[in-house]
Amino acid sequence: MSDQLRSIPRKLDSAQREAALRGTDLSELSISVDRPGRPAPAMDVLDSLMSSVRERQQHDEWSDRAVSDRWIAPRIHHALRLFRAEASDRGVLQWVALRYPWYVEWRWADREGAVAADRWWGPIHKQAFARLWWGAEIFRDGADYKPVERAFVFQDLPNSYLHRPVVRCRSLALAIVDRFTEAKSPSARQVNGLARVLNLATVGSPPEVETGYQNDDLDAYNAWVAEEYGIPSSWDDIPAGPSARDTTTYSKAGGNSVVQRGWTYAGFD
Amino acid sequence: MTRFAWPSYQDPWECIVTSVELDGSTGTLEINGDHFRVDAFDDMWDSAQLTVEVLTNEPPPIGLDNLKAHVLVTCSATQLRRSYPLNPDDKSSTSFSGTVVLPRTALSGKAMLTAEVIATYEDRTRVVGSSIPWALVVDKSEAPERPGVPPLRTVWIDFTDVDAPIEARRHAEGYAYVDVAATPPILYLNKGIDGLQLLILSNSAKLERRRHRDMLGAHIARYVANALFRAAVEQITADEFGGVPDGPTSRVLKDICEAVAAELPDTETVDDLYRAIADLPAGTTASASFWASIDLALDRMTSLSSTVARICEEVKRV
Repeated sequence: MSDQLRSIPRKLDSAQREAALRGTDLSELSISVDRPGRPAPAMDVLDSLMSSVRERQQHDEWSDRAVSDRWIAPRIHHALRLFRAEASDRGVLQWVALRYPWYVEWRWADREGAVAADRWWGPIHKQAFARLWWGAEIFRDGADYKPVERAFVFQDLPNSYLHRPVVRCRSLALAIVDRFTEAKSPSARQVNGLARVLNLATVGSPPEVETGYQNDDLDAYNAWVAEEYGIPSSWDDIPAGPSARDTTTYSKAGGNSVVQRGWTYAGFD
Repeated sequence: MTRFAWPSYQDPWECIVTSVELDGSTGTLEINGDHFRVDAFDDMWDSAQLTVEVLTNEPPPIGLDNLKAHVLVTCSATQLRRSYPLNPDDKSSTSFSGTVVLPRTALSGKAMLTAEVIATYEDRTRVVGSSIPWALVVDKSEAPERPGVPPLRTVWIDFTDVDAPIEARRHAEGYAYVDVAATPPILYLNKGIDGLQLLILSNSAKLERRRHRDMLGAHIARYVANALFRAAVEQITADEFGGVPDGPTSRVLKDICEAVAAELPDTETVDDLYRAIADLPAGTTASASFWASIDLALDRMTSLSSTVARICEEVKRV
C-alpha cells in the first residue's frame, strides 16, 4: 500500500470496486496527490488512527455504529490534514475509503450487507470519510473539536446540514450545534424545520452582517495542514485542531442571534 | 435579481473586477468583463488578490439607512463562504471598492464573487441590492470553451462499426448520438450515412445544398442540446428544506442549464430554473406549458427556429 495519499479520480462502478477490494493494485487506478513545494500527505498517522478504530470496533466500544462518528470525526480531521481543495476531490476520499474498506462496510452496510455506492464516492454528507472529515472541518471552533462531537450526537444534523450553504458561516454553524445541544433531544422536525427557516432567512439578511464579517483564519489553517505532525501516544484524548482564530465572542453572539430568530420563526419557542 | 419584501434596488449593481494579481503579479491573466469571469487556471499560484468596484446609477430606495456593501465569495466544492467589506468611494453611497484575497488551497473548480449591498430597514440589516456574480475559474475543466469551439468533442464513426458505442450500434440508422455518460459528453455522428459528413463539413455549399447543410446542422445542434438538457434535468434534486435545488455538477450540463435559464422569460438565474423544475407538478397544464417553453427555447438557442424561417422564406421563390 502507498505511504502517501492518492486519488482515484473517476467514480468506480461496483465491479471495479469489487476488484479493488479483492486486492487489485489501487496504484494502477490512482494518481498521486501532489503539493507543489511541499511534501505529499503521508498516511502513517491515519493508518494508526484507523487501527485504533478497528480495535475499538472489535471490542464493541461503541453502543452502535452511529455513536462511533462523534469519536472518529475529530480524529480523522486531525490525522488526515488536507487543504480544502484536496478534501473537495471525491477521488481522494474514494481512495481513502478503499484503503479502509472494512470501516465503510462496518459503518454503512445494510441488513443484507450491501453498502450504497455513495458511501464510496459521493457528496460530503454521504461519503463515509467525507462526512466525518467535513463534519469536523465545518463544526470545529478553531482548535476545539468539542462542537464536532456534539454535532455528531444528532445524526440528523450532519445528514441534513453538512452540504448546505447555511453552515459555511462558521459562527452560525456553531450556533446551530449549540441550539440542538441545549434542546437535548431535538426532533427531526426541529432539525429540519430550522434548516428550512435559516435557508430562507439568510437570503435576505446575510449572516456575515450579524457575525461581524468574521472569516475563517485560512492562513493558520494552511500552516497547520502543512506542518509536520506525528502519531500521538494515544488516540484516547480528543486531539487539538488548527490554532486558528475562526470565531470571536461577537461573531458567535451574532450566530446565536440568527439561530434564535430562526428558531422563533419556525415556531419552536 | 432576488426581489425582497422591503425597499430594494430594481436593477443589479455593476460589479467590476479592475485588477487581479496572482502572488503579487498581474502576468497574462485575462479579466473577461463580457462574461464576468477571471480565468486563473494556467499558472501555478498560492494567493489571488482581486480589486473590485461596485456601483449604481439608481437612486437609493426610500426608507433605507446606513447603506454598506461587501463581496461574498463562495466556492461550493470547498464549502467556502467568505465576505469582504467594501469601502464607500463617496458620500452618495453609489460606489464602493475594496480587495478580495483568496488562497488557492481553499478553491476548487470555480469560486463565485457577488457584491451585496445592505442597509438598515425597520431596525434590521437587510440585503437591498446585489450584482451579477463573477466567476474566478481555477480549474480548466470549469472554464467554458472559447467562442467557436463546439461544446462537445465530436467523433465521426460508422454506427455499424464495432468501435461505435453500443447505443449507436443498436440504432445504426441514426445520424447522431450523444454519450452523456462520458465525462465530458461526446457527440457521435454517423459516418455510415453516405454524404452526411461531406455535407455537414462543407464550407462552400450553395443553394439547395447549403440549405440542407444548415437545416441538418441546426437539427444536430438541437438534438445535442436536448440530450444534454435531459441529462442535466435528471441530476436536479429538490431541497427538502426550501433551499435552492442542487443542479448538475459537470460544466457542460451546468452550461446548458445556464443558457436555458437565460433564454426562458420566467427564469433570471440558473437557480430559478432548478427551482422551477424541482417544483414542477407532474402531469399538469403548468408542466405541459413549461416543457413547451423549454422546447421552443432550445429551438431558438440552437438556431433551429431561425433556420427554418430563413429557408422557408428562401424557397418560396424556388
